[in-house]
Amino acid sequence: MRTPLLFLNEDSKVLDALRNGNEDALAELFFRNRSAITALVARNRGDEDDAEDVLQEALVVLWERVRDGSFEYRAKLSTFLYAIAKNIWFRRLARQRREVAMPDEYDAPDGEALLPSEEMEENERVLAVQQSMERIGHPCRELLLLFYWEENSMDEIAKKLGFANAETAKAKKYQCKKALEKLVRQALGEQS
Amino acid sequence: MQESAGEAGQAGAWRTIVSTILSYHWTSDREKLEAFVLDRIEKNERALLVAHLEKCEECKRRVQEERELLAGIRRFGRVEMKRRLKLRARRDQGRRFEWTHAASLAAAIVIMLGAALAIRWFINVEQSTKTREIIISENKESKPGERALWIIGRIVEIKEKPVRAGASLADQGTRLLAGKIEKQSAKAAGETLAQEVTSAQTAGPGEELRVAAQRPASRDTIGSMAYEAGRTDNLKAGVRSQKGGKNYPQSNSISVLGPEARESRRAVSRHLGVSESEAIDTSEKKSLPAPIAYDRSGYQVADSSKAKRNTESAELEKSEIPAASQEAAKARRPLMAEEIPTSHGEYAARREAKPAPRKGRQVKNIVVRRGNMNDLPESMRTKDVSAVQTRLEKTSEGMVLTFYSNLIKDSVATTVEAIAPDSIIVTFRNKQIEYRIPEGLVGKM
Repeated sequence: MRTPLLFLNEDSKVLDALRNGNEDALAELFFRNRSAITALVARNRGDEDDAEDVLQEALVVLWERVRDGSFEYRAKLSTFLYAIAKNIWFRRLARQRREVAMPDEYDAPDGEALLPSEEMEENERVLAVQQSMERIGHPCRELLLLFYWEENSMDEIAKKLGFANAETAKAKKYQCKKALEKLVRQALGEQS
Repeated sequence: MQESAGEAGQAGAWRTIVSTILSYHWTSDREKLEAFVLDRIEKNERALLVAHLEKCEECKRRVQEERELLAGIRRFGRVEMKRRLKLRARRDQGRRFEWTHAASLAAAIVIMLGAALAIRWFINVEQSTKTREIIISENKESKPGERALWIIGRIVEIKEKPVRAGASLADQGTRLLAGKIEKQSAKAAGETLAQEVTSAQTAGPGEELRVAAQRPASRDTIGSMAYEAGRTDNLKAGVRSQKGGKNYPQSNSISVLGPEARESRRAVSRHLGVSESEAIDTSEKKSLPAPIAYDRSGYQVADSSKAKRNTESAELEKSEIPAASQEAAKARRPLMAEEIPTSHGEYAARREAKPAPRKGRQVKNIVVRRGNMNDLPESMRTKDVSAVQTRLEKTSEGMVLTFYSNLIKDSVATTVEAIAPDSIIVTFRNKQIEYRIPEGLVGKM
């Protein structure tokens, strides 16, 4: 990942904060970009609530990209967020009105590739896993999130969650994953 | 042969290895499966694993399940983060709103404070006036129960109002140039000129009439009037070359010579805004006596006695007009400076230019009285004779202004005018007193 050379750049500070897991930076980005995204969504049959939701989702995408190291600073963060938000919103519009032609503004931009697969998102088992994650208790939820979503190493997880070492964290992760799979099977009505 | 048998054996061994790898259900290894899904496997190994997946449906299913598990966990992570972000945004928005609200509140407070200070300032002004009034009311001059204010005025010398100068000029000018104009027309012409003329000077036969105008444009108007008159066939005219106005850069002293009133009447009527029919045909008076000049210098109200002489000595012998002037008239060109018949008379002595009297809104509900200097307390007398100690009183009769000055002999003022919110001018016959009085008081007058 290329790090911006403009160290004094506001974006650089934000990215550093995101890399350190500071969610305050996301909140700051939310307020900075809200008006632009609201205008975008309002121009395309949406309202303020839609805009906020879309922007929050775009911010999460940014968070994921920064955290997993796949984010490349090619344009200002506001530009990146605008592109992502635009794709999210138009994808929603398309989902809502499959039969209706997409707005002219929709041009399948680069941000499309960064979004989670629509097919996967709508998968029944995926939704079951999501529900099961809500049911699974602490610290399994946090541990699984740190490993699978934030892609932390076992050492990092051990430190964050207070395990003795990485091996302990690894063993705990195994147990948690088993527990989650069991919950998923229950959610799907499958026999264990 | 042996070599080929060896190569065949080696190839077979590789096939066995590859076959073994491909048939290896690597998805049974949870860590490997996890690493595959998380894309933490090197490219070469990944290719082999993918190749196995193409042949193993069970492995493919396991990979798919692992991917779905990962997608579900990540989906949960995203939703959770969105939820936190939403809560955070609402909370921060509230804080931001509070800041905005606080800023608005601060602005409102500042405005209110400003308004309060402004009101306080006005009250102070009012109070200070009252304070002065209270202090001054202790003066012996003030009667009990009456509120008096001592103010100092400045005397301004005036000679004549412009309207009077203009009227005189018009009277003189029309008789000199166009013969007699009806009284009403002359008055209108005078008022027209009064707007343009700040001073005028006339002289006897053969002398010049001098006019000072307010603006260069005014000088041009007056100059063009004379010049037009001079262009007529039977009128001998000359423009004296001196510094002048915009259109007459070299000619703010214009001499008009001519015996033919009839011709000049046309020009005068045109420039004074009166119709030709309003000008009486003075054909019986075939000539005009005076060369007339307009310039910006000098200040003298038209001298009625000299004007009378002008009219009475209306006949000017042609022989008296210099040959140069006659030639200029024939050639229809203005006279050059050296051609001006200066021998026609002496210029009246120039007097010091005086400022035009100021005008303002007429103040009616005020009584102006001349106070006896003996009644003025010694402490209030000044050596500056132009300073006029004055007492302004609010009495049951209304506002009374009593001035104490030896320079003004008049007891009654002709006008009292408000020229600014804090200034009034009291005009007497030949003098004015200008006062600065507390702002707001003028409005009550």
